[in-house]
Formats: sequence, C-alpha cells, structure tokens
Amino acid sequence: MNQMLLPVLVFWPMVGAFISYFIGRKNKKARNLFADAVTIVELLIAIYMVMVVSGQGTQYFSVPFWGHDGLLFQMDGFRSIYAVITTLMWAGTTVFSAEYFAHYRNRNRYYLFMLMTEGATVAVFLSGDIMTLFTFFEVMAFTSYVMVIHDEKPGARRASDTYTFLNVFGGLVTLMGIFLLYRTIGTLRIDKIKELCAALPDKKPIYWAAGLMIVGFGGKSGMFPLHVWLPKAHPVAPAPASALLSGVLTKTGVYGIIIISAHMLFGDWVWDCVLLGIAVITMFGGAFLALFSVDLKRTLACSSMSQIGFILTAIAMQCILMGREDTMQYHFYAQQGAVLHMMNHSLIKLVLFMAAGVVYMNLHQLDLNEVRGFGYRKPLLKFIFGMGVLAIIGMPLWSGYVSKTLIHESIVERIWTYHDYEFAAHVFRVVESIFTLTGGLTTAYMTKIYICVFWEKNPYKQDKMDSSNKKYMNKASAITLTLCSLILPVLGMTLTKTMIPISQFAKDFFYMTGHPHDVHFFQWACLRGAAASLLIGAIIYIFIVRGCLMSRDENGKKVYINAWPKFVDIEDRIYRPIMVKVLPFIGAFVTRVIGSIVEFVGKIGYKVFWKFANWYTPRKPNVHEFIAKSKEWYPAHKIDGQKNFAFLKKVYDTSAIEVWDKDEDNRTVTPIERVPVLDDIEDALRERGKEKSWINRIIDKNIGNFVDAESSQASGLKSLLRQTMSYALIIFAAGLLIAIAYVMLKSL
Amino acid sequence: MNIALLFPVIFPLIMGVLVQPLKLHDRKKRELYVSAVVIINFLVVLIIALTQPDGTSLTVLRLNRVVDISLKIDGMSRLVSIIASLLWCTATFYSFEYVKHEGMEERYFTFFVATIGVLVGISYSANLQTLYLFYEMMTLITFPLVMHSMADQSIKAGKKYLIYSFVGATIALAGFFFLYENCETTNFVAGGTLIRDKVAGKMLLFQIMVLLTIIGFGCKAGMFPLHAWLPNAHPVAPAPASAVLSGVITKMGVLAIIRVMYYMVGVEFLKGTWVQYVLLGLTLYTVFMGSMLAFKEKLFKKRLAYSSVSQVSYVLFGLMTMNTLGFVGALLHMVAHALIKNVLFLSAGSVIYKTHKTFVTQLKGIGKEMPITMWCFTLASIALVGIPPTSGFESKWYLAIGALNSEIGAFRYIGPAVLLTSAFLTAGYLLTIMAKAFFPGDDYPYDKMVKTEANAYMTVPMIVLTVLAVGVGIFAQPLIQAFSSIAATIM
Repeated sequence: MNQMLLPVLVFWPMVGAFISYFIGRKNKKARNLFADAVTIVELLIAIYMVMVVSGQGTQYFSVPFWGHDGLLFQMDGFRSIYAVITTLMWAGTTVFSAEYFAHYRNRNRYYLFMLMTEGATVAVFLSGDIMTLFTFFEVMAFTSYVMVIHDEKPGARRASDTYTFLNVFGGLVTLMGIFLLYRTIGTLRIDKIKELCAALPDKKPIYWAAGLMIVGFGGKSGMFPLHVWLPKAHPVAPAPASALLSGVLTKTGVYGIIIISAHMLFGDWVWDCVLLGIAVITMFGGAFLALFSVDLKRTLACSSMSQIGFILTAIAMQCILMGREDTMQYHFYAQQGAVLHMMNHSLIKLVLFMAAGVVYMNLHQLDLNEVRGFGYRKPLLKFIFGMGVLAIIGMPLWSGYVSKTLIHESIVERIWTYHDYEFAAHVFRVVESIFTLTGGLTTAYMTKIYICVFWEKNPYKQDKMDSSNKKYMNKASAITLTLCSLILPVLGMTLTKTMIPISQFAKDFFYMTGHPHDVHFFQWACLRGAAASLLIGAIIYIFIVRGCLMSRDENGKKVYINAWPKFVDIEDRIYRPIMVKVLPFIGAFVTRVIGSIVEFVGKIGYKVFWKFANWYTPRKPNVHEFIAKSKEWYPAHKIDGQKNFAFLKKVYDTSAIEVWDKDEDNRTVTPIERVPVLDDIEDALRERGKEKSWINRIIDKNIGNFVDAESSQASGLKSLLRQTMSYALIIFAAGLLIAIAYVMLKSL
Repeated sequence: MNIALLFPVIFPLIMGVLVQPLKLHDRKKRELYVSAVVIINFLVVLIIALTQPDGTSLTVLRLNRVVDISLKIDGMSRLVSIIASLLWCTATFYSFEYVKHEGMEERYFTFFVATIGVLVGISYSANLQTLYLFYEMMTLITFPLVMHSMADQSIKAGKKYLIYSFVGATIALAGFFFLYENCETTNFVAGGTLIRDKVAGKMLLFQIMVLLTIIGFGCKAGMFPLHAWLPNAHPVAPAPASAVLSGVITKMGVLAIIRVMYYMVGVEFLKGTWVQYVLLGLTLYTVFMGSMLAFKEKLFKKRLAYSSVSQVSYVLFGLMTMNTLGFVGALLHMVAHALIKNVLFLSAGSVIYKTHKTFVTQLKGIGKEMPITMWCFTLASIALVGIPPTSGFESKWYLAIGALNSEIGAFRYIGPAVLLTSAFLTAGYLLTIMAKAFFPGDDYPYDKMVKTEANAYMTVPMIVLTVLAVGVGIFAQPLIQAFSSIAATIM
C-alpha cells in the first residue's frame, strides 16, 4: 500500500499544477494558497515515505503500460532523502513565491510549470531505471525552461536559450549513451547495472556510454566545461526559481553522475581519475569566477558551480582506487561527504537565493554597488543570510563544515595511504591543496557579498536602503526564510544525531557496505582544514578583494569593480560561434552543394527530355516570338471576338481600346481612335514581366486566336493540365512501352 | 464478404467525383456530404481492419499474370489504411474552415475526397501491379491539390511534383519488370518470393534493379536524390493538403518500399550487400540534409516540408537496417510522424489563415494570440524532437536500438548518431519558433494584443492529433506488439 505513494509523489504536483492553473484564472490568492498546500502535502508524503523506507526497506512501484518498457519508481535511503530535500525546497520557495511574484506578469504560467517541474524532479530522484530517469529528466528540462525565462528580459531570453540548448544537446548525447548501455547490458534497471557492468569482459562500450551520458548529466549539474548556462541563467531567473535550479536541479545531474560513477563504472580508476580532474577544475573555476563577480546572484550561481565541484570530487573519491581493505574508511568518508554536501548545498542555496530574492524584490537590482548596504539595518535578513554564509564557508558548528571535513579527510587520508607510491601521493596532495584553496576562495567571495550587502553602508543612498526597513518582506516569507536558515546550524550542531545517520542511510545507493569509523569532527586534525580555509579566505579577502577588486570612483568612494575581462567568456567566444555560425554554415554549405549538383544533373536531364518532348507537342512561342507574331496577325481591323478584346484590355491597360466601333454588318471592328502602337505590347508585357506564368497563360489563351482560332479553346486549369500531362503521359507511355516490349521479349 | 474490401476504395472515388454534378454550392450541405463520406470511409476501414482476418483477398480483375488487380488485407495494409483515413477525417474538418479563403472549394473537395479512396487502394493492394496503378493515380489526383491556389509558385511546384513523381515511378516500374521475371509471383508474400536460382548468375543486375526500385519509390518519400520536389510542392498547397501530403502521401512511398523489400525481394537477399550500405547512406544523408536545410529555412511551411524530408527518412533508415527492432521503430515513426506532421502543418496553416504571417521571423508573440494552436505546435515539436514520453521518442528508441543490434558495420553507430544530430537540429528549427511565440519579451505590447484563435473546425482536429501524438508514446505497447508481429512474419 505504501508503494502506491510513489506515483502519488510524482503525479500529485503535476495534477496540482493544472488545478492551480484553473484556480489562478479565477482567483490569484486562492491559487497561491493551493500551490502552498500542494507542495506542503508533497513534503509530508515524502517525510512519511522516509519513515516507511527506514522501517520496511526499499519500496518499488512500476507503471507497466507506460512507454515501451514501463516506468519504475524506487525509493531507498538516498532517494528518500533527496525526495524530502526536493519537496522541502519546493515548499519553501512556493511559500516565498507569493510575495516575490506579487507584481509579475504571467504568474499563472509560472505556477503551472513550477509545480510540473516539482513532479518531474521528484520522479528523477525516484527513478528505478534509466528510462524513467531520462524521461523525467527531459520533462524537467522543458518545464524548468519556463521558470528560467519567466522575466522575458533580453538577458533572460538569451540565458534560457543557452539553457535549452544545453538541455537538448545534453539530453540527446545522453540518449546515445543510454542506447549503448542498453545494447551492452540489455537492461536499464539501476539496481542491476553494477553487477552486469562489472561482469563484462570488455569495458569499452561502458566507457563510451559513460562518456556520452555525462554530457547531459554534467551539463545539468554545471560541470566544467558545460557550466556555461549556470552563471547566466541563475541571475536572470526569478529568485525562487534560482533557488530550485541551483539547489535541486543541478543535483539531478549529480544523481546521474553517481549512477555512472558508482554503478556503471564502480571502482574504475581511469574513470574516477578523469572525474576527479574535472571536479577539481569545476570546484576551483567556480570559486574563481565567483570571486570576480559583482552581481549578487551571479556570485551565488558561480558558487553553486564550485560546490558541485566539491560534490563531484567526493563522488570521484568515493570509489577511486577501491579495493584495498585498509582504505575502505576513506571511501566511506567520501560517500558521506558526497551525500551530506549535496544535501547541505541544497539547503544553503535555498536560504541564500531566497535572501537574495528579498533584496531583488525590494530594489530590482543585483549589482553589488547598487544593493550595497541594503541589509545594514535589517537584522533578520542579516541573520538569515549569515547562516547561509557560515554554513557554506565551512564554519565549525554549521552543517557545511561536516560535509567539507569529510571530503577533506577522504583526500588527506589517501595521501597517507599512498606514501609508498610517490605519484599517487603527489596527485592527492595537489587535490588537497586546491581543495583548501577553493575553501579559502569560498570564504573570500561569501565575505565579499556579505560585507557588501549587510555590513557596509551604501556611500550614496543609504537612506533609500533603510526606507524599506521592517516592511521588506511579509510574515510568511520571513517565517519560511528563518526556518530554512535555522536548519543549517541545527544540523551542524546535532551532527551525530542527524547528519551522520542520514549519510549512513544513503550508503546502499553507493554500494558501501559495513560501518565506517566515527570521525572526531572537533579535534584539531579536522578543525585544521577548516581553519586553513578560513585563514586563506581572510587573506584573499583583505588583499585581493579589498585591494584589487575595488577601486575609488570619481567621488573618492570605494566601489566594486568588475575586473573580469569581458572577452574571456567560453560561451560567447567558443560555444555560440561554433554552434550558431560555424557548424550550421558547414552543414548547410555541404548539403546545398550536393543538392545543387543533383538538381543540375536533373535539370540537364529535364532539358534533354524537353527537347525530345517538343517533337510531339506544339511548341509554345516565347514572348518575343509571340509579339512578332501578334504584330503579324494583329492588325487592328482583324480583331474579332470578346477574347481578343479582353486580352487587349489586359495588355494595353488603357482606355484607348475601350473606344471601339462596329461596322454595319456587325462583324469587323474598326477603332475610332487608333490603337496605340503595337510595340506597347512588349512594354506592357515587360512591366508584368515578373509574372512570367501570367504571360504564358495569356499566350496560352490567345495563341489559338492568333494562330489557329478554331482549335484549342482550353483555358486555365484545363490547358495547364493538358500541357503538363502531355509530358507526364509521355514518360508513362515510354515506361509502358518498355514494359510491354520486355514482357513480350521474355515470353517469346 | 471479401467484396467489402472494394468499398473504401471505390466509395470515396465515386463520392468525390459526384461533388461536381451534385452542385453542392451550399457550404452547409457540402460540409455534411464531405464529412459523411470521410467518416463512413474511416469506419468501414476500421471495421475491415478489425474483423477481416489476415489474407482476406479480392480479385477485382484478372486477365493474365500481368493484368491482375486484386486487394488483400494484412498487417501493413491495416496500419496504413487506418492512419490514412483517420488523418483524412481530421484534415477534412480542418479544410472546411481553411479552404474558405482559398476559394474553389468544390474542386478542392472533389479531389480531396477522391484521394482517400486511392490511398486505401494502395494500402490494400495485393500485388505490385495494383499498387503501381493506385500509386500513379495518387500522383495525378493529388496534383490539383498541390496547385490549388493557381499562383505562379504553386503551378511551378505542381509541375515539378508531377515530373519527379513520374520519373520516380518509371524508375520503379523498370524494377518491377525485373521482379516480375524473377519472383514466383508479383503478389506480396511476407518474406518475399524471389527465386534464388534465377538471380544466381546475375546478382549485380538484381542488386542494381532493387536499388533503382527503392530509389524510385523513395521519390514519394522524399528520399535523396529524388527529394527536390517535396520542399517546393508541400508548402504551396493549402495547409490541410500539405498536412496530408507530408503526413500520409509520403508514407505511401514508404509502404511501396516495404512491399518491395520485405514482401517481394526478401531481406536475406539484401542483408550485408552493398545495396544495403548505399541505402543506409542515402537515408542517413537525407535525414541530415532535411534537418540542416530546415534549420536554415525561414519560410514557415517550407521549413516543415524540409523537416518531412528528414523525418520520413528516419522511417526509411529503420527499414534499411533490416532488423526486427529497426522495422518496429520504422513503423512507429511512420505513425508518429504522420500524426505530428499533421499537427505542425495544421497549426502553421491556422497561423497563416488567421494572421497571414508566413515567415518564422514574424511569429513573435503568436503564442499569446493563438494559445491553443501554438500549444499543439509546441507539443508536436517536442514529440518530433523525440523527447520522452512522446511518440517520437519511442520510435527513435527502436530505430537506434535496431541499428545498434544489426550487422551493418560502422553504420551501427553512425546511424543513431545522425538520427540524434538531426533531432538536435529539429529542436533548433522548431523550438526556436516556440520560444519566440510564447516568450515575446517583456516589451511585448500586451495591451494591444488581440486574441485571434482559430475556431473549432481548426482547433479540434489539432487537439485530437496532438493528444494522439503524445499518447501514442505513453501507451505504445499495443502498437509495439502489433508491429512486432508484422515484423515476425517477414523476418
């Protein structure tokens, strides 16, 4: 009975989405409340399911009629944790949305797609086979597109173009990987993948599959070098949407990468080394970009990229060089770090993006120089944002510290394990120092925005900043934000009761067995890493941020400057030119050239055939011949019949020919005024020269009158049909003749 | 009751011709008459498909081995006849509104109604002669639909259509003589009836002839190198006619190829030969070329026509893999594309009908003005790109898995890669329209916006087909089973 709740988790928000849309057409308030109710009910179901899973083990539900192979939903420890986090984030942002979107257009559309995305995202985390995962991954990609583009400002449209581009591109490349995986192992059940892949004698197809699949999942998660959409889309999306994008949607990509790393290629050192390399670049690159950013939400977005790098590092460390009994502990550290950092990052970004949303909601600005001093006299917001900052920089007693320490430990211990193997030890030493440095950068850029928005006074308009004190957000938003921000220290302080059991609960998904040792988080050995990061951060902040990234403006006030060189933009410099200009040009050029060669051959054939066909059909004179003929056949006194009259009217297009008179026997017609010179026909025709077929039709109509008045009275479609059919029939007859000849010859 | 097979072939032909002498000038009367004919035809086709067992046949006229007009029911004919007559119903209802502004409604409906009889004739054909007869009739009878507007462009396109079609059919005819000589019978028998001893000495000739036949029939399906008529002819026709031209008539070329490859020659003669590789190359090139040119095309309906070139070759690619799964994928894509392309052309038609905007660059904000139309368009586009859970995804899945599982060398990987590249381009040329239509930007003048949604005659057919296009993907299993059983008989 409980497993019936799995499809409810997936489809309830989708159904709710449509209901909320129709409510929203009548009443906006009711729609907001209904959406809150939908997400909160969803959250409660998810929490109930965690209890079910912890009591009764993994739950399955399949929808056999769906698609070619049915859908399979599965809920184990890791999946249930992420279902709860997803639904929690949705509940928080939905409550906050009511205020945030108060003055927006198209809110109904936003709610519709926001709730649809919730269902799809939950479905991704609950997927029991890769087909289900992929199905809802794509649904999520398309519905979240509407959330990103919601503003419809040029920046938003451009960013969402990039977002969709990467989604579709990544989706299709991933699909190719899934094809290969399915062909190689014959199933897509996630819980069978590891066994079947491990049993393969030839790993090559799995490498291919993994390499292709990571494009889609990595793109979604913001992995280097597919991170380009992330720093562009998050700042322009509405804040609740950014929180969801950054907190949850990137994690769907991470979920896919876990499947690749811990299921398809469990313990494969080549793969893990590559992943580790990418992860380290992502981690450092994101933090580096964030340091330079002077946009509040862009900083947070780059920070997301960096944090995803931390998570990927943990995932790579989880099964790198697996196999030695004595190192099992460190794999555990990495697995716990991965799960906890995923969770922490979701919760932290929820708080930070919503707080940034409060800033934007009031000022409609995100530039650091514009929002500077906003929180100077707003203690509640200062507290909320502060919780997020402390957690993300890894301050002991906050949740971020736990996960970062676990990841750090997994690397540090590895250096000791390989003290007999110089090269590996060096590699891990480098990874460790980049890790610490990135921690320092994290501290620096978070301090930068925190001090800017909350501790400094705005040099120009502090009055304006303070004018919104006490009314900058309503009660519902304030309560939601406070509750969300309190989760972070609570988790960090009760880590042995909460975080460690949670990470244990998720270990089956990572194929970790046994029990890890306890980590003594508050001993110097662990604190040292955090202390190093904080110290480096302080130094970077003082010397680089205050020193190099700020300068004095014309009034002598210190302002933040965007020191990032504009031309260093991987999207504008490389991806867009290649994808929008170069590749389509090459493709179109090649196909057009080949096409025109074929057409040329066809045309020659057609011309030859035309010549041949003309032996059998009356030749149609061209315009000049026609005019010559009409001069010959068209002296004014010979004009007879209505057709010619109408024709002349058309050709001359003057009133001159209106003035005609008939002679006594009512047959021959003579003009009273002389017909304008016949050369005018040529002019008239030339004027209409563009409509060549008009001329042809006139010729068709009148040629009979000039040349052969008795026969061929055809006109319009009839004449055209006859003209064209004659050629077609010749082809047909020729074919038929050959056929008959062939059959007769054969039967002889 | 075998004589019943003749009914859906003859009935629309007669009723179509009767539109002229009955002088149905009154619009109401004409609509009633025409809709009655297509609905009755659909129901009869459905009843025949459901009640008549495989192999029910009817000889209409038989003088000797060559002059032998006979009809037969099997899996393929059921499938094609149902798709054709269903889509004919929706397109007919749509036409009632659309053709108002084109004029010459009586002429239009004469040919439109008569065409469905010919199409059912093609799908019911029991042998190659019958198929060829109806095939040529189809070309002639759809020709007036193409050049309905009688504008210069459409006349030119109509001529091109006619010439290409006849050239293609003539090439195919040449192949027919060869098959006639070397097969036991010209009747379609699952698995083929080619006599091994007869072709033993002249394998190369045989292969060339089969290749020519397929290229010839491929003309209707828009396969390279005889594809050039399609992007000219489809856009100039009235929208409902383009919809069925792209959605249904191209499928007749596919059906003819299936009949030749799987019911006369037999795939074991072609598997692994150079013919297969050439055909794989041609279809894949067509897939890529169609998408690429569609991506570059700015004229709305022409873009869709190029898209048809590409998509029908997906189907052909599935056939050329000569693999059970690939075959199932091909049939699935045949159904999916028929539905989707109808929606796309119909929605393009209602945009043109209501706003006279013919270029994709003009469509900014059209989704606000015509929400139902553009929603249908968007869902159909997503289905055509092949995003799960729509029908386009299911077909692509089978096509790719079929390709990967067959013994076709490097094409095993190139094939799916090209299909996905083309899908990516498809997203590029369809989803950009969607983005512009629904997200015109914050400077869009909402206060000046006028809702110009088309009326129920146009929207209901689109909605029905869109629901089918998405629903077929979700509830694909009955179709997959049916297609697998067809595939099982021929491979």
